[in-house]
Amino acid sequence: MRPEPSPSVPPSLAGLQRALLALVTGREAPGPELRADALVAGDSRASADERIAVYAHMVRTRLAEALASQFPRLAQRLGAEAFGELARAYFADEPSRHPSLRFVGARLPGWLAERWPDAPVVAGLAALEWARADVFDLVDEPTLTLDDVRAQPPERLGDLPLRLVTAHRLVTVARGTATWWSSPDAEPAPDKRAALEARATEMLVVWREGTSVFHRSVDDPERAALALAAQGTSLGLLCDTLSAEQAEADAIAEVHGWLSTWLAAGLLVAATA
Amino acid sequence: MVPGSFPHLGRGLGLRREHYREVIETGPDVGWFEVISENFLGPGGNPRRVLEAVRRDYPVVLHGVSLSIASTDPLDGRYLAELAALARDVEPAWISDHLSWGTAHGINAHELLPVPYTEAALAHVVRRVQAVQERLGRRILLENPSSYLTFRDADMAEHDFLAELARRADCGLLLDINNVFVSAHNQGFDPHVYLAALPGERIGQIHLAGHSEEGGLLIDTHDRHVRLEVWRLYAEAIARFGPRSTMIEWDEAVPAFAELERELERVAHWERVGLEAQRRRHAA
Repeated sequence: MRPEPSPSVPPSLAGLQRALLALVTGREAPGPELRADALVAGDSRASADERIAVYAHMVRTRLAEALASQFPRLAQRLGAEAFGELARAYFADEPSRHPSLRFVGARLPGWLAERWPDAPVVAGLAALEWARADVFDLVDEPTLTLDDVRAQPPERLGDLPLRLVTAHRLVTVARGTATWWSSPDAEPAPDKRAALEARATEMLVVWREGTSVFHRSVDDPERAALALAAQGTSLGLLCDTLSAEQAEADAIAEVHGWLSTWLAAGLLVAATA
Repeated sequence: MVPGSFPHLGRGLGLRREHYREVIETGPDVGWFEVISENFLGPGGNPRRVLEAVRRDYPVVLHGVSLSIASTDPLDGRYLAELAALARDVEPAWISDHLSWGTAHGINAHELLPVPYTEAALAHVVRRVQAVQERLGRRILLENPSSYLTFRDADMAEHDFLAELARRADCGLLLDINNVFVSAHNQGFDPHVYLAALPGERIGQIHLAGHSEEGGLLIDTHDRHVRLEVWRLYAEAIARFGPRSTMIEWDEAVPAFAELERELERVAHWERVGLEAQRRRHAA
């Protein structure tokens, strides 16, 4: 989006803000003109450095706490010290550019995948937690119910639209991620062999029921069906797609099973929505 | 601007996650709630569900932390659009943010960083407040910051900066009494002179909170009861300006809701102290 029109900026004010931001975030090595005592007056209560340090501490603490609140299980699994180190490194590479603290962790899963390639479940756990946070916040929609399906005339059942609600996520993560999410003792050993094995992936669907967020693993056929439903399909098209790969009766039985599960979870948008 | 542009809502509280369920289910006797705008900017889901439930029973005001009104970065159009949409949905009694900045060169420190009190900065902030008010279609309130430093280039007092800002931009003020006390100690100014210099008719809301002491500085921690010196300063403000919508901010080590209700009883007590002082002053 185009920025709001902004009046002309006093250059000295811009320079001062750049200098103070550098001092409180430590993002640039301050030059002589960026010394705290060149900007700020110290006195008997506190020196200029001590006054700047109050803001620097608040910035570090606020960002680290926000990140830990967005990735509570990752923070717990890694421990306070390691997670604190991770937060410092992450924000050095990926400073926040969004007005809301809610989004400071948006790039953490991708950053972990690049920085810690030998521990893919760490990035996986971050991706899962981020998806769960998203789903918690996403919009409410009327959902398709079993009664809606039963009300569909049998001859038009194939036309029943199937579209996943906005408040869902399909995430592909390293195998073992879901297990590590639910059990801290299930952390894979961080050796080469484990890393190679962990390059195998699993897909998780994340959804919300009321105020609770859930996730579960899905197999390849359901993964493909969910991908179709995410874009919007119909019951008939889903059955036709599956029938191309297996006997029609088996396909219908499989779709029936998925439909029951998806309806119970509130994963489908009401046909009239 | 005429007095009373911002309605008098009585005594309120900052709505915090720890109390969502209790507030919605028990409907406590609180005049109004202030919510942090950024926590509800999304289009729906659980945050909006909570806000809508609270809004059904209480007046709500929006208090932002990300307007970055004094930044030299362009105003964030997406943020303002989301804030305007939230205001359309919630119909808050007013919208407020801080006299501060948090972004520079696109990087957000997520902190309320201090403004140099200079004529150039004043002119800059006035233009930005006017632009924001035009975008939102309403006056906003700006809060005096808690501050831990004074810039060497500053050439005016904070209270003069605020008074002139409110006059030129035609905006309101959110007077944080704890911030006045904390900044007065940290910067070495007289809080009574500060209050006397403010345009009372522009003060639409008052904040009260607790602070801590670290080294030689006071820190605005919002993690404990309001201190006696701050209550006394609050009574002085009421004596000077009359009753204002007043709320308790408690953001860290958040206590049980009943404790906040007891803190509101103290607000009522010190408001009475202030009004009695005002009555005596007028009678003298």
